[in-house]
Amino acid sequence: MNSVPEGVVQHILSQMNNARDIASCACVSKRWKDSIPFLPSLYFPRGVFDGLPRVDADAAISHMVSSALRLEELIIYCPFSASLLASWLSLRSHSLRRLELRMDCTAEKPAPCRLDAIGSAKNLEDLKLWGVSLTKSPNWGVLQRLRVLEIVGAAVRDTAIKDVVQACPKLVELALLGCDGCSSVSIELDCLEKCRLDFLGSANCSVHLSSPKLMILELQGFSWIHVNERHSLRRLSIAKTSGSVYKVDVGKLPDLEYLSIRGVQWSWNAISSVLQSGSEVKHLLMKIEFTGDLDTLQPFPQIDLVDFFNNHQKLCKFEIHGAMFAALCQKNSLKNLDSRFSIPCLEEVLVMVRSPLNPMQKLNTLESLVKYSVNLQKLVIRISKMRNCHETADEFFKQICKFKHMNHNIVHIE
Amino acid sequence: MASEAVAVKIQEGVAVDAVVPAASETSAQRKILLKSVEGEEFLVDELFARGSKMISNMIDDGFTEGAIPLPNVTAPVLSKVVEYWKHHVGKSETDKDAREFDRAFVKDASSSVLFDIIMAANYLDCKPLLDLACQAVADAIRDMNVEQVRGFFGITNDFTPEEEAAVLEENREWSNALTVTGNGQKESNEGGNIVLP
Repeated sequence: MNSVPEGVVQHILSQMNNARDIASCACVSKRWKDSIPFLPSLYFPRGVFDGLPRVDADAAISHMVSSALRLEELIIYCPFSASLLASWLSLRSHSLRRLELRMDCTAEKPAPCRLDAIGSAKNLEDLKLWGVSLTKSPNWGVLQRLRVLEIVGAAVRDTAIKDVVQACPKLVELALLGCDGCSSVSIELDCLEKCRLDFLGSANCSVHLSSPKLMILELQGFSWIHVNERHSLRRLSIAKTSGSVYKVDVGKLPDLEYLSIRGVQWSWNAISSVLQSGSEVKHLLMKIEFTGDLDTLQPFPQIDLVDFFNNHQKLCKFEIHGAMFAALCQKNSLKNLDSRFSIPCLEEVLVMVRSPLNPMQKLNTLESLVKYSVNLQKLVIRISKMRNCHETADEFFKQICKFKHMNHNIVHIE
Repeated sequence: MASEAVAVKIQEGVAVDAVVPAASETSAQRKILLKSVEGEEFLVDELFARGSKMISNMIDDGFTEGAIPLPNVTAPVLSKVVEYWKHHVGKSETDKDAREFDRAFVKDASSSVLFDIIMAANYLDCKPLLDLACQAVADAIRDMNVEQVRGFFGITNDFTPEEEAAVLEENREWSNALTVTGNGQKESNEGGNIVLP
């Protein structure tokens, strides 16, 4: 191994990034020590300095960052003094491309100005921040090269988000997850292709998005949603785990392949406008408990099976839960069935049944799905969460088992 | 044209300059003779042999007669390299079988086998294989202290006592990780069979 060429030693060492391992390697031999400045990546895991005083941990990080002359990627999960960040980042601003920081464990009160230091890493392409405080806009100037931004678990304010987004005009991927404190989010980004927004808190929140290249959008926690109709959406997922969705405006969705709508309560307008826009969808997931335009929770109005599938001809995979499935099993849901009807593309269905009420109607709907779907390969009926203390439960189970028996290649029960 | 189709396949699988062979046979049909340091000859499809940039360049420079000598590669190592080419050349980067092969390839490899493969891949200029073997070695030395790393590679400590003290002082915050084991005696682990996790 002593005769291995220089480049090979560096190549082996370049596959490592754990700071502890790199520190070991620096002490192995002269040649190895000389290779350390060329290593591209440093990763300081969560507990790597456990037991050590803060000043020593900071010194270790400082020493390694200043030794790594061509540092491209810096990941710090362990506690560190945020005041040193400015010196580390300006030292490596030329080469640094990826930065990932956990800020929630700094000893000092998380002062918003500490994030200003990130502005000096002008060549940054990928930035991930955990547990920051974005209640004031950080002073980043413009990060022209930033393509990916992910902020998790942040306390935020509306203006701070707007300013952060303005500081990163060329973003391709944006994720703001587990964020709390906003009432209105407005995002306008020309290059954005993938956006995930997950906002906590029961207060009603609204979002406006304008991004012509947007292909993937995941939203959680918004009551009013407006997406500028100039977009390229392929995947759309809208959820609200508490509170209500009042209005959803996404324009037309001609390229949509996947649509997921979930929540406790959505207004009927919101549901029908999204389902109407998503008429080309191939994979659809629907899991909403209640509808109703005001704050009173209402059950779903009847959904006509024939209308529904005629309006979603390309549907290949379909997942429908509890209350919405019950809406497909109302008295007149099947009234338009005739021999000309067919469900051309449907291959996989998952139905989650919550209550055994109206067992015969539910069976009729399930049987119709099997009968009219020319390509159906799999129908899974999930009854694991069913309330079965009602007396119709036995009848329901009996019928379901018979149904499965008659269609045993296709029907599965979970 | 069949040879064009093959050229495209080469581009997809391996970062090799795809040059359509001028000869009337397509490279899929032509075989190349490779000779290890012991003189053992390996007949390999030209397509696979081009997994080595060095060999690929030699072929393009007109070296098609006789065997290509590889004085830096022994027969056992060369046969492993050819196995690698067979599973990778012409396949996409995300091919499942190729990945499964990689896992098995490095799984029970001893450190000396890995070093041999690294040297061969470096000499033959086959970057994907070099990356794979280097990653395997980097994974093997994770969590080792200084002495263990030296033992694994069979590296002699060429620091003077003063230099060694200085470098340990520079990295003093890591002192737990870096000290010589036991009573200060250097353990050596003569590059033996270290099974990778």
